[in-house]
Amino acid sequence: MADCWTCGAERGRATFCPSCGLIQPVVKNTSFFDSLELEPVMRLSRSKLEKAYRTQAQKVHPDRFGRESRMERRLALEQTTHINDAYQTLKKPRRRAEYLMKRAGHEVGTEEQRVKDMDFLMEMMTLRETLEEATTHEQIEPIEEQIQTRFDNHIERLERFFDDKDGSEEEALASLEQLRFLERFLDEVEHKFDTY
Amino acid sequence: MGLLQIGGGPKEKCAGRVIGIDLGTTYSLVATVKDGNPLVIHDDEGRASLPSVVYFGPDNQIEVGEQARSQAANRSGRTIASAKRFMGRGQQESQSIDELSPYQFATDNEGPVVKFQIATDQAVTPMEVGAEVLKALKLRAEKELDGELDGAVITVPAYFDDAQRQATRDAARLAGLNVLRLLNEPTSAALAYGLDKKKDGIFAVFDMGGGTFDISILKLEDGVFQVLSTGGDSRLGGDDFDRAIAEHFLSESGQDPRTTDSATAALSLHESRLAKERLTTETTTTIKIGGQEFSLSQEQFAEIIQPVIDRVRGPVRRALKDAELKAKELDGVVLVGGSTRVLAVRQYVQEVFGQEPLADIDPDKVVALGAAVQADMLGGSGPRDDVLLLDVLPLSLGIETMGGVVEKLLHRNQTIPASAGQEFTTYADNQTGMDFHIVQGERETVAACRSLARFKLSGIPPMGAGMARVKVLFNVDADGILHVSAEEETTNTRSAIEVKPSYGLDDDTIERMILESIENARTDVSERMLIEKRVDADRILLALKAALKQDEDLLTPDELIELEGGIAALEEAKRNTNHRLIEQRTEQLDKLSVEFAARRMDRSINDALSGKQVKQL
Repeated sequence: MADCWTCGAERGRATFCPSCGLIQPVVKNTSFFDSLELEPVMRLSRSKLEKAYRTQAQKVHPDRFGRESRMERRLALEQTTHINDAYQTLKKPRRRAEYLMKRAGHEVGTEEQRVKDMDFLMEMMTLRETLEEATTHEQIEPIEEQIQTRFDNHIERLERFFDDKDGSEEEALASLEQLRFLERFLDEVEHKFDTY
Repeated sequence: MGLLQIGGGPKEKCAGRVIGIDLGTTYSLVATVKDGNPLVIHDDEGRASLPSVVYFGPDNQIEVGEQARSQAANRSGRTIASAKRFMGRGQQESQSIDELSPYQFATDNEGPVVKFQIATDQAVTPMEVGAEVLKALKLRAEKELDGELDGAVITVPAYFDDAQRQATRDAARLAGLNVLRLLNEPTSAALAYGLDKKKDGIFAVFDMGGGTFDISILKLEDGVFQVLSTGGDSRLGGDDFDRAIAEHFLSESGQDPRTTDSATAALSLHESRLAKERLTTETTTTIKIGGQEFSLSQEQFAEIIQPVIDRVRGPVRRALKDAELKAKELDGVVLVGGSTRVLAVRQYVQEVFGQEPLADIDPDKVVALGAAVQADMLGGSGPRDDVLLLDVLPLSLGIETMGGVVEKLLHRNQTIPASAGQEFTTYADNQTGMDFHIVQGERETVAACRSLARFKLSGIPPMGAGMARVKVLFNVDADGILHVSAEEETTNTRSAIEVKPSYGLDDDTIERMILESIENARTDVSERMLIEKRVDADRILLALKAALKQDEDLLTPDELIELEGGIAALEEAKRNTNHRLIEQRTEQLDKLSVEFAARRMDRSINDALSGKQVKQL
């Protein structure tokens, strides 16, 4: 928590000082959900997130501070960068889940964690080979669909875990790891689309 | 923070006389907002657009615009058109841009920036050419607004990379303009339309100018104009149509386009452009090239340029994908740029998006008008709670890691301003410095991306290997320009970073140009080049030797011999003082090792698949 940089009033994590109204620095560890004034949930619709993001951007974007002091312009840049990070992180379901997991105090994506499911790895290996052999859009598309379905299933599992407290933590962490893998695979598919 | 800024200094506060400039490849325009309405400023003879053509005569005489263009064929060596295509480009890249080119490039290798050789003892950079165009527009605006300007918004193709943006800023600085914002051209056009229509929705802007192609998807809602995605090709445009026609008919007349002399090339390009323009209203025309007259029909023209039009497919598909949209979900498609007058282009757009494109604002003026609106919002007298623009980073930014692999830190189509941090550590005891190489692009290997800057981080407190924790912060500002700062976290030491933009002008160079002190210390420059090239050579040699030690078995004996030959050749060149030779051999070795790097990546993927470190995949 912090005091206003100009009038000294207690301002907590508020973006604008409740006393003098001036823009404030981002308080360290302010949650992305808080910055956008959103509930910390996994089931977050794109339209709701975008609306919240636009509302904040309207208030803090540097273009709104073109005629203010240098300090205020710097803070506007800082706040905007922060909400842009927030938007970017919360926009994609996988990153949102990872962020929720981190906020809950779990290490995510460390080297100790790895996909342990050998069946999954073997399947991925086979799919990767199929992808390598594919040379037309028609051949690539079903592979993409398969990966996407798996991806969506994991996301749904994570939604139940975070929002309904349904499922174990271990399962949720495993889902996250597989999602990282699947996402990378989808990138490769995308690259393949570009090549053919 | 902010120890190192690749970008320029802080913006000055201003209010009052502001303008928007569309610095185009073939034409440029300037506009301003008067009584709430954006309008283009004309010259004394009532012309709106200024050809982006500059003639550099003997005795430092300079002509800009129509006059320079009309005389271009007679004074081809000293006349520069389409300089925008070379903004932020390196010398070697530029030589390969055009097969049929009226330009002579300087090969002095004094610094990395490309130069047009306009006489045996005179060369100019694309920034200087751009600056002359900007000066002419500035003068025009000052006359119209009756006084000195407070600031300008200058538009750039959305797909311009960091070096190209820097170069544009440099040109503005040379012209004495205070840049309020570099605004992406499609965004600018959408702004002009959005404000005009005051309608919420999702729009695609299809922008094809003389030398660049951009596609942007934007959403207007709640008074926020948000760019969802952008893509394009910074070397694709109407000039390519001209070139395709010229090459086609030069071949028809029995000439080899690659060996055509520069005067004939300039003349054929000129004729081709006129024919293309006639075909926007006529169904057939005649064209005179290589001393012969040919007839050219609309259909034949469409056929000749089809390969060029096909190149927009990829960027359009990616932009839609990044925006997570289907073409039919769009509420409108806006056409921007003179090349969208070409009927074949319009037909293509209609076919891809399944709807009649919007073109009710003059496609030549819409970008400048939007820029004037943005200038008015930023520094003029416009209402401050008007539409807010949220733009994105056009290309991913990453850093080179071992083995020439890119680690992306900021991703394309991420909303800016944006930041990302990455932690690094030392590999040797008491190591006080670290080298970084920043690249921009979507590919996995450094060789396939564009080199943006290299910098050395120094002043790390001496400690054991792996103890230091250096956090490097990347910030991209609202202009899309990168700033880098670094901090050693265990001791809170902020370290100084020295950055060399790979193809930009450093501050000293700009100062020198501004002061027009043409005399420069030749030896200093080549000495510095030599040191730089040796450092570059050392980097690749070290990395490659370490990689060979570890993964030599990935190569066949022949490949190993070839690679070792490359290493020996570079080591030999390094003992020499010829920096060009060092650079050449460094590049050769770089190319030779691409396949090796790819195999090393495969191996690390395989390692991971056998149950290790998925994260490092």
